[in-house]
Amino acid sequence: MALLQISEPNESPEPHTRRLAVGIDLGTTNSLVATIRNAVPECLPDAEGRSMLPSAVRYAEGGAIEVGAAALAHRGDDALNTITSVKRFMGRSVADLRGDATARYQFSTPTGDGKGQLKITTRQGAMSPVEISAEILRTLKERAQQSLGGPLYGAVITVPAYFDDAQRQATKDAAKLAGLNVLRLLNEPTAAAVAYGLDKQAEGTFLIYDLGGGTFDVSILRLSRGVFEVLATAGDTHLGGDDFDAALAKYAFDTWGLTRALSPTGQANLHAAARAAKERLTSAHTATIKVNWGCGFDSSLDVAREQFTTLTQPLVDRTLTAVKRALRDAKVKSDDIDGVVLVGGATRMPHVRAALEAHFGKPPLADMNPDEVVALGAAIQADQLAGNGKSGDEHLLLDVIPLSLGLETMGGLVEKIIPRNATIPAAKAQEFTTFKDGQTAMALHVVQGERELVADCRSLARFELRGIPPMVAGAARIRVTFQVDADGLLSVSATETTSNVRADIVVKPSYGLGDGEIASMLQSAFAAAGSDMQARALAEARVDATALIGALGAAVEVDRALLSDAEHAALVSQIAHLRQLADGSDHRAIVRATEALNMASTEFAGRRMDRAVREALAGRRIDSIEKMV
Amino acid sequence: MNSFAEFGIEPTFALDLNALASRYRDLQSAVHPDRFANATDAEQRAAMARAVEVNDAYNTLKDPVRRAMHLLSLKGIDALAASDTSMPVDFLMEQVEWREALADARLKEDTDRLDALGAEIASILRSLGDTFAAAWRGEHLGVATTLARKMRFMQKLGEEVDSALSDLEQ
Repeated sequence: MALLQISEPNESPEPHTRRLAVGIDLGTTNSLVATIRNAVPECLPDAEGRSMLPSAVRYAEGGAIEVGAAALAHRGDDALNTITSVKRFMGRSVADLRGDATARYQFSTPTGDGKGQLKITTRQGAMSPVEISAEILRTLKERAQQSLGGPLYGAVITVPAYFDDAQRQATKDAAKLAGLNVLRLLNEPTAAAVAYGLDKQAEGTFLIYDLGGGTFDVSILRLSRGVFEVLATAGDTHLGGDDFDAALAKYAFDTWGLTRALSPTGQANLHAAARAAKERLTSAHTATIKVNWGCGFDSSLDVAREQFTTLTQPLVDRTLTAVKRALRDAKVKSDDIDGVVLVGGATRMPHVRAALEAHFGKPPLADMNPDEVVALGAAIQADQLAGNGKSGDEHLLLDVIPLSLGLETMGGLVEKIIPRNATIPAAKAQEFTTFKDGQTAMALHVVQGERELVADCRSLARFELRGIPPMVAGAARIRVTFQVDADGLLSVSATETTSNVRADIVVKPSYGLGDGEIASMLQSAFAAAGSDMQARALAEARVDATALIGALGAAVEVDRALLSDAEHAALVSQIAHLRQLADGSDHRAIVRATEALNMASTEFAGRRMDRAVREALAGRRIDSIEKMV
Repeated sequence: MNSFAEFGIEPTFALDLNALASRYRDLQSAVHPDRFANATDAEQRAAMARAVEVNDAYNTLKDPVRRAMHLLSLKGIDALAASDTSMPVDFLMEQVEWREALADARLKEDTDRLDALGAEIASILRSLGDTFAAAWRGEHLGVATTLARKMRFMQKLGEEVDSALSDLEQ
């Protein structure tokens, strides 16, 4: 759905106008927005010149919502209404939070069983992580539009590579809620590799080590002639700089002999003090954790770097476990890695760098700003997906899914359908059959994870295929197709092949918001802005129609040779018909005709794709693939 | 579907994996949905379908065991057919010994031993592959089928060594 290309009605978009596209790094601790200006990617600062927006949202008294530094300033005195590290709660339930030291809010769950997407209780009501993240995205969108002087065409939003489907879907929902046209969800280490690879003209096998505020990813990529091929990824979506702060905070708490649980304000202050000490220890050998508890009572503790290293080495070791798994999955050895690229503010910690140097026998590469590199890479990708790239210097990203996708089978076991580290887009079909005579319905339970038991994997969705004609057990053929798109998002369809009973779902019911919920939130947002839904629907229909007329009209002429005279005439006349409708004001007729034309051009599109394949096979002269023996 | 045809090459076992990877990148550069971000829905769907096919074919061709199975399937042989899985007794005895060694190393949490087992298995897999290539060239399909099955056994064993190593590292 093209949302933001709303130019003048009846005016076709100029083919060579630059579209305003941005990359957004929606981080646990800080978020950034970047774009391409004068062929160079750069982060866009706010009015005070700061690129980093603290990922903090405060629901203040009187209905105001503060985002960024203004919100963060109240983390101590309004702790329950000032939400930080909301990324850790994306696509998560209350039940998922057990043992998470950073979860200091009041949570609720819409379903009551602790399993649905959690909400955080604030004075302005219960807020979902999707809504809270949307506030951060909206702030960055406004910053970008002010800076670039116009409405955005679209955005690439980065997510941790190790995010599962629920977390990805939640991120996409947040972007939609913020009114952004999502060009792509892009894995953070892949974005970093793009920025690094293009900047340094790097070729070879690289390991991206991305330790952010709350998440850890490691990806291994092969960079070759503008193609960025992810070989494997591994990680932990609940491991980041926050955990190093928490370890230090706990140490101080225990050393001071405190026994009573801290108030939310006390906790927030202790955490902030621990974080400040951790940051000082990057360059200093000792730092002091100092907390003022109020009422003239305070505590302080000196910490040496060695002490901090000892306390947090287990966390660093956990990252190395993921590094080893990624190497094994990629089928490469440590010696094969041409460079280790550091991403994320937490990679400034000296013992992290030392551990990597010890493992790879060479110092990691730290010549890109680890805070900005993800946003810069996302901006580069956004620019290309918006169609701004010069043909010829396009690069290509081949990414993977981080976790296996499967179905529940008898006995609570998981049948894997698409394995982890499969390159996307990917699709796979598998056949199942009925268990009992006369069975007419089948419940499908889609899960994600590596473990063999359903109970140990993440439940993504449940759906039912009904109306199977009664047959003896084992006679029905139920073909379940999994499809993962370039965003890493899954859709599943099931068909009983002897009768063609079909069920389709986009996997999202268990987690995230329903489409209806998003629509109603958007609707209320528009109502508040005084916008006319009818006019908007018409404008959107025209944008889609105009885009199709432009693209197909050009293709039909360029590839005239791929069409018979009759086919050519039919398409041309349908294009003319759609153009006529687009001048009218019946948005439903425009949408219908657009869909019809899309359907009618399917065969033509297939032929164009065949031609592209033939050219690729014939085009570049390469040495014979068949090995001489 | 013939994955070799997808890549424009003759069906053969001995492939230069670097050249294969290079052709894979060329094909994806031509059909990947990102190349059609501003094209019509019909073209985006066609691109998606093609990119999936290219990924599938590449997965089949780059893995020696899948490549061997695929070659046999082009001759109408399903090497994994349940009706015909008899294996030579000496091979099965060896498998038992391998599994004992694996179980023992796992029990003792001996990661060095596991690493060594993994390397040994990889080397046997390579030499089985060489023998398969010769059998395929000589059109000894019965021999090739048995070899492909042996390769699958060894590959499974290798996967179990990997997963034992993963478990121990947790």
